[in-house]
Amino acid sequence: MKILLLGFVLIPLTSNGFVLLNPKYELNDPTSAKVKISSEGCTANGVSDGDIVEGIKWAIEFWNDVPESRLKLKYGGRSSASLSDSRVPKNEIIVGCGTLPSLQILGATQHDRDNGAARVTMNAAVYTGSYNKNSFIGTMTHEIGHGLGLYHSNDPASVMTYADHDWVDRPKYISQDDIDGIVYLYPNKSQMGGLLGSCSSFASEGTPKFNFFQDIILGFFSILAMTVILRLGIRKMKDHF
Amino acid sequence: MMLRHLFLIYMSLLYASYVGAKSHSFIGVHKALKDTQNSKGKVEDKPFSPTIGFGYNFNLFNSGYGFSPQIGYIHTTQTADDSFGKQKIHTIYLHWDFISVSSLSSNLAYRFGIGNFIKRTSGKGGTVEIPNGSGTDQARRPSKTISSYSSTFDFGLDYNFDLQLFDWGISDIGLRAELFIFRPLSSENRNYAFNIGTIIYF
Repeated sequence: MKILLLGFVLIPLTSNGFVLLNPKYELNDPTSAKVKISSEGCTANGVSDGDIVEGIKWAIEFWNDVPESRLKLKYGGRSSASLSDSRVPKNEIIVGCGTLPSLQILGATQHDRDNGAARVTMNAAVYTGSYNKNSFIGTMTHEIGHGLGLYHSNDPASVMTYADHDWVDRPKYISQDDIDGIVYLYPNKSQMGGLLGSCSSFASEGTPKFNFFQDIILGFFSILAMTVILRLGIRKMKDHF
Repeated sequence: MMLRHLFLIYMSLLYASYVGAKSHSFIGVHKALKDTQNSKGKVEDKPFSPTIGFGYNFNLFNSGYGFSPQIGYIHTTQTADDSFGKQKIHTIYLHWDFISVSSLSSNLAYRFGIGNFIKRTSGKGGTVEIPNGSGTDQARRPSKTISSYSSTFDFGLDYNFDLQLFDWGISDIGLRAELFIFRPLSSENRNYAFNIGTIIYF
């Protein structure tokens, strides 16, 4: 007689974590969103396109490093759109330099919710002359985090933090808080997520309805039942022959 | 609807019992091997997360091969040090593994297959006042329940001690170590995690 001793209860853990800029904002298609240099770039105040490209590519690598998310940012070169345009092209985050009200503000991000896009303005008064490149790249990574939909974090390990921390200018690795935020905003919706690639059609068709019991528990036991039936069939065939 | 599901589960368990499939539970720990940073910018020392699972071993064709599906729960112990937001995170896994008895020892079996990890994040919503530039601003806490599916390639080892503790209702006890490869086909974003623990066969 088999005894099933195991019964487990799902006890979720309450954790503190990320907050959102606007719950209705997200990139139009996170599997193919492009980060581009705005038409003006930063050349007017002495920041080369090479440095902006380095910063964008570093930030892309940083934010794409979440295996449980379908986010897959790409570098898109130079955009025809300017930071001063009223709209940002669909599914783009454009980065350039512009005037911000205070030297205390290193960068600012604005969303174009209808286009699922954002513009990142690096403070031209700060990043000029012999500016700190690590700070430039760290700030850009933080601002692109806003462009993805995250707001400020109180976790000192996070690139989105406002708290005191011991990492300087730019983080070495993504933090758990940033990962949790990106997984929440851009989860893998395909049940084979990460193995065969995400299905981009989900993005345009809206969020599929997920029924935990039906999709997971029932699926598990259906396959179990099929295996048992297969075994019974094989056993019957063996007895027959 | 619910009754139909319960009936199917009951029938599956009955069939599994009838054909002599070995049911087992797994009690162990899970650890993600992905590098994340702590507040000092160093690689964070990740805690082990308690894990519990349940599965069946089906011997296929009376050979040294078997099918070993399992379902389990990982209790997330790693939390962000962020007092702005508040949410619940839990992870369910499903493994569709095959086992092959080793030629070195009949007590040793190799495991390989595909796994699914379902990470569920849910929040109660609401707003919170946070610093923004020289002032403060209102941010939103997560308000929905989101499931993210990650698939893995699984490789592992089972070692059974061949103990026959029938008086205890246990047919055997063993050890299991299993490695999970996330995004196995991506050279840039490939990541790893592992489970290690005890298996109890009933």
